[in-house]
Amino acid sequence: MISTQVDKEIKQQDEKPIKMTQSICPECNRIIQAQIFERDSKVFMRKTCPVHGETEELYFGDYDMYRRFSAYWDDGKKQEAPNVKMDKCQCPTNCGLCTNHLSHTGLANIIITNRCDLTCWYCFFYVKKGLEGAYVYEPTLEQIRGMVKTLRAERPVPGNSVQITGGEPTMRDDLPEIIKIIREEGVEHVQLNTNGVNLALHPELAKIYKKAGVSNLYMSFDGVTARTNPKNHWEAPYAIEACRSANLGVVLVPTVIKGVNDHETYDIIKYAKQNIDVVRAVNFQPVSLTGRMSKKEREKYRITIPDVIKRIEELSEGEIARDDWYPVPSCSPVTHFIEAITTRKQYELSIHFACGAGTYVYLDKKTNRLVPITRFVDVNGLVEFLDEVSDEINSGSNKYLQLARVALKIRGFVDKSKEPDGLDLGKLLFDVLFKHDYSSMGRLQMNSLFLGMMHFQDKYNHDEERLQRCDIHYLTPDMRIIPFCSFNVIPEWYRDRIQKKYGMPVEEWEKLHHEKLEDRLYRGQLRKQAIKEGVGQTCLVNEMLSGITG
Amino acid sequence: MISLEVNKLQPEAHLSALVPQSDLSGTISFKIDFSFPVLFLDSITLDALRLAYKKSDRRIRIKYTIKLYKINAFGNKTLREISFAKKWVLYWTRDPTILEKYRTNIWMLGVNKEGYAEFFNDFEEAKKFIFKFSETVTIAASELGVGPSNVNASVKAKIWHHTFAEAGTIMAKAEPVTVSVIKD
Repeated sequence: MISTQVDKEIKQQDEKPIKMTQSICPECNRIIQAQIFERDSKVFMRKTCPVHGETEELYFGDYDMYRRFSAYWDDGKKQEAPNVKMDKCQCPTNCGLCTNHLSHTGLANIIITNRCDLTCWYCFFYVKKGLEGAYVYEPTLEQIRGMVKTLRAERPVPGNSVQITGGEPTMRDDLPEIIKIIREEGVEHVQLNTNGVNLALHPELAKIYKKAGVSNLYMSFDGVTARTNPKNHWEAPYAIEACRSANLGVVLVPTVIKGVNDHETYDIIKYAKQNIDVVRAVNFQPVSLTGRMSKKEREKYRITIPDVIKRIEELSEGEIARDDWYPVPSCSPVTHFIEAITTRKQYELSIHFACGAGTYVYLDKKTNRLVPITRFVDVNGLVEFLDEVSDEINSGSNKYLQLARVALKIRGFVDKSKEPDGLDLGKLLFDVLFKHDYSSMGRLQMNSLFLGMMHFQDKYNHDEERLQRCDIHYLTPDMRIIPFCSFNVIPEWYRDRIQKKYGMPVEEWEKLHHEKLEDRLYRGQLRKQAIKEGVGQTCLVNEMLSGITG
Repeated sequence: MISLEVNKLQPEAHLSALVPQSDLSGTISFKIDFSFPVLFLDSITLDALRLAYKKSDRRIRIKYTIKLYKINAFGNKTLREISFAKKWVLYWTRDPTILEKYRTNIWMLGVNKEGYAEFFNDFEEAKKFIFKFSETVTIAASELGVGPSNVNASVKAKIWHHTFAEAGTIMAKAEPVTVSVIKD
């Protein structure tokens, strides 16, 4: 006991305070102070609840990266038409969005069902039959239209990007109709979050969804082996093939857990590279530790954005290094430049720097290697230059002279000698900055793979400064827009309450639909078939691995 | 709210030689100190920053250019010209200690010339970070040549339009210093 106290004091002597913030107690949700500090070149959060005591948690796995990323801090535009009017900021209570929320919706989730065809033991999001208070939540088409109207009513920037999610959204037969409704309301980007099983079983669905208006698939993909990816290891290749036939882009979404699949992060990128004609991005999600966990367990599984970035650097032997990554708000200088020349408020990714990061990598066809954008673009110089031009325009300089300056200088930030074969990024950048439309952004991404990180919070590392800037939201039938990390981190206040209010008991749903919830469960047909035919051990896996080693 | 005309301000720069004498093969280091005038510093209040934040004026960037030169009878010889930017990012803080101490939720973090963030819990410290600097410049003694040399420095600071200041550039010239280079 004494030695533990001494150890703690020695540890605290090596700590360097960074700042204070507000958090919640992981036991009782009480809003409490939290200190952010550095120790052993890592950043931690410590907070003490007067009732439940102290919690210490890894917040960001690299102090150097924390300081580099936080330099891009950029508070968003706030809400001009908040759904919940609040005088004082009281996150995480009364989310809706409230007067004090700082980011407009970057991506709006609509849960269209909480039914799923899989029963993954670790998933908290699907309706489990037999549990007391189990509700099937499936908003009606009218409710969905109403939710999208709420999103489009956001000001100053109407929401323009929707993710249809679940449960498993392909369980709903009226999904094409839902997609059409969302598009009819003026949303340009519609993403379908799926496990891919139904698309693997029924490849024609990819074309149907694409025709209805889906922009891309957002598909869970936790690893390249059956062990690391029990969810859809056997099915994902078929789903990707279906999307290839339908010319429908795919984003692979691995949830990264330390000691479970972090050793396959680079293999996942290589798999994406092998399918670069259809896979547009890999979006790694360091695990969010839900439910009660001991400190020891949390230390075993906790991984943060810098940890994943460093793991990829190590596994790729520097092909994709830590300095190639930038925090999401580093896009802001581009937004500010476009706002300065158009004098209109633009779509902006103003999330907290610790929430997300990304980089673009381009395939050099000569060497078959991935080349991060930072190797041939002076990103820091470009950002600084755009900041300066925006400052000049905002200070009254002639806009057209400044535009001419940008047009003359923009290609100078690209080193043509190091640019991958067949790419003209200078021209693409020019188009993005001067045409600044959705299709220009799309073309910038067509020739590349976007590598992203998105770390959703949990009760242990919850930071109200992050929550206040969240731009991934949920649309709910009561016409609210709720930040992801309120909706899922405190389900008892948000997700569960809403699903109960707008859902129906499982028994009632079964009676109404003349089917049992378990009728549509996926029974692993593709896995069984592959193993039976020996295909699983040969062709399919070999094909996958040849993609990785190739 | 008074918006300051930056061009009319008279800042101060100070130059000193850290080691005023060196061998021809050695180096000489100079220290250049610069500060915005007190009038300007006093006008940067938390109220002014709160208003700036409200008007989406949230990034304050100052571009400094230091010129170190040798004074010659027939014109000056530039020894070094260094440019760098320092920034403030205004943000909505949830830090209870700031809320308690300053009764404001609008606070700032600094971005140094290397592009890394600096966090503050004292307002004067934050102002010092962006509106003052102390920069050391080292040159090879051979760049001056054998014998005594008069060296001087000028500093240019450019600020763009903000709710609390007009865009403008201020310049300051230091008093020259004499350094001496001897043969090896």
